[in-house]
Amino acid sequence: MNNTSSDGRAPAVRTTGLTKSYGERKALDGVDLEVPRGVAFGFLGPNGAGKTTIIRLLLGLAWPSAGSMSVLGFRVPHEREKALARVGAIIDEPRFHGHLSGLQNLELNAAVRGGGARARIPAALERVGLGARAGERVGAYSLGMRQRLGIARCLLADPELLILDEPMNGLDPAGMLEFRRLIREFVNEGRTVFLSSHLLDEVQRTCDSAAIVDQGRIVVQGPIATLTSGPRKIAVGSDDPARAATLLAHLDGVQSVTVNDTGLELSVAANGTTDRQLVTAIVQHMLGAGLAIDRVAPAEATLEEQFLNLTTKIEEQR
Amino acid sequence: MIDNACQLIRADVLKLRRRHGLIALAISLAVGAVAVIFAVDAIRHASNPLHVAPAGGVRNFDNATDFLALIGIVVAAMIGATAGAGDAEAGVLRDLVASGRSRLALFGSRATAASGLTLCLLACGLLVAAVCSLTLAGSLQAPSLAHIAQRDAGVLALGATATLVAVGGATFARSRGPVIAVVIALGVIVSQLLLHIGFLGDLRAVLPLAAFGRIAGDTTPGLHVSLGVAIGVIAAWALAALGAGGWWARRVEV
Repeated sequence: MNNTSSDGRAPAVRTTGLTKSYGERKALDGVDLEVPRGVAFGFLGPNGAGKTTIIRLLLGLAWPSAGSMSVLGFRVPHEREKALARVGAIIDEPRFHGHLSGLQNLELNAAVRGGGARARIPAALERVGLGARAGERVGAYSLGMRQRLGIARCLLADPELLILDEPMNGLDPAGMLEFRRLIREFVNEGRTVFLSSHLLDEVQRTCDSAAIVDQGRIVVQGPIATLTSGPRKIAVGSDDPARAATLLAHLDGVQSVTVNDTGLELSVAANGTTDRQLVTAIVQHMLGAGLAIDRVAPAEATLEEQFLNLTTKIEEQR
Repeated sequence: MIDNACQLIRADVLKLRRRHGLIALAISLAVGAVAVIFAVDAIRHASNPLHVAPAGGVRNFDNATDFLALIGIVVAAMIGATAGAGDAEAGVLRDLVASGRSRLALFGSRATAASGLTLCLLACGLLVAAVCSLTLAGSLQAPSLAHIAQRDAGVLALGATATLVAVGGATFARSRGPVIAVVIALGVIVSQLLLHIGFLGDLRAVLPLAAFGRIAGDTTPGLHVSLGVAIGVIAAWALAALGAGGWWARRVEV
């Protein structure tokens, strides 16, 4: 791995051979991870895959058994204070002192951070829309409000890196939309967002890059576009899917046809046939055979498919 | 740096101060109970001055400070354990550690805030005891300032030590309830029992309650402790609690 990113700065997060053992069990097993700066980076994995463990190590909450890691170019845990000075984090569900108000909770955190953190409180509260309710006891806040207060707490660090562990758990659709918008805003401001989640769809919608972790190992990492790229597919809807499948299976450029609940899915061979040519041929053949067409559209590969594909392969290798 | 440390301590004091139930109970124990004792004695004396002695004077002051020494352990246990385990119980400890701030600084701040608050409350109780003993002495001998200072020093030293033990214990246990129970049981009940078991001899000198007695000028039958040893015992307990709590705060995974 290079020491610096293309912009000359160290990556937001880098781990090399990171291992964490609890007795005989390895929660992390030689993790090599690199999170570039200025992106929303999704960190995916099933429950128990090691997502929270790696976050706890990065934040100095636990100690690695082997390997090394750096945050914003500083080694952790040796230079933990420097590394975390510009890091905001939400670990699991954001927690606060319920007997104190939102404002007082932020004041406590600002006191711990020191520096200019206290001066950032009003702006942070306004940004997450809690300015008017900052004086209320946190015990009376809804989950969504606590999530927003958690983000406000992160902003006290004026963070270069935000580490968010399952931040959308329990949020309603409006809350998730709001959260997604905030994350993109942070990235547009040049911050890096490290988003751990098992909500694959959310990561695909929100993030630029991602890594998939399973059984304590990084299975794959890279830009979302690369992770979701695969053989081109075309979805076709028809009144008689079985007949349409037989008809289209012999079409030039079609590699395979699968019938599913919503119709057909054609895997397209990489032989130079353009989508336009293929779609035209599909329509002509189906109309010629007297089949009704509901739709013909590109079927996008999803992160979920890639995720299931990769994690299934791992299971099969065992 | 000092400014940052002061901010941190103020924040920890705020966390404790805003626990209205805890503070109300601590005030009623450390100040209210002493005031009530003197008030009851004063009323009894006023209603029957020939047979009931005045509420003030040296002896009543000594009784009040003995009471405050024990009640101080209770108050110290409550405040120390709340300071030590409050962040962990609320689930915010990992957020504080994740800020990058030194774990030792966080622990030190909790210990300082808890000790400060406990000492303030005990000082108020001692002030009430001193004022009542002086103003209600009547025909009895009033305590001298030197006597008041000596006994106050004992109560405050014992209170501070119990607070640090509670902070250290709660940092380890991450839970208030058991630590409060253990500190009160050891400090108030077990120590009292051990102190009165004569065949333990000078071994009893390691008990903070024995050290308090020596600093405050009391004598325990069969126990010979110099003032230096008593101060050393109190300091050793305080340092052990701080050291153990700090060590654990530094190495524990949260």
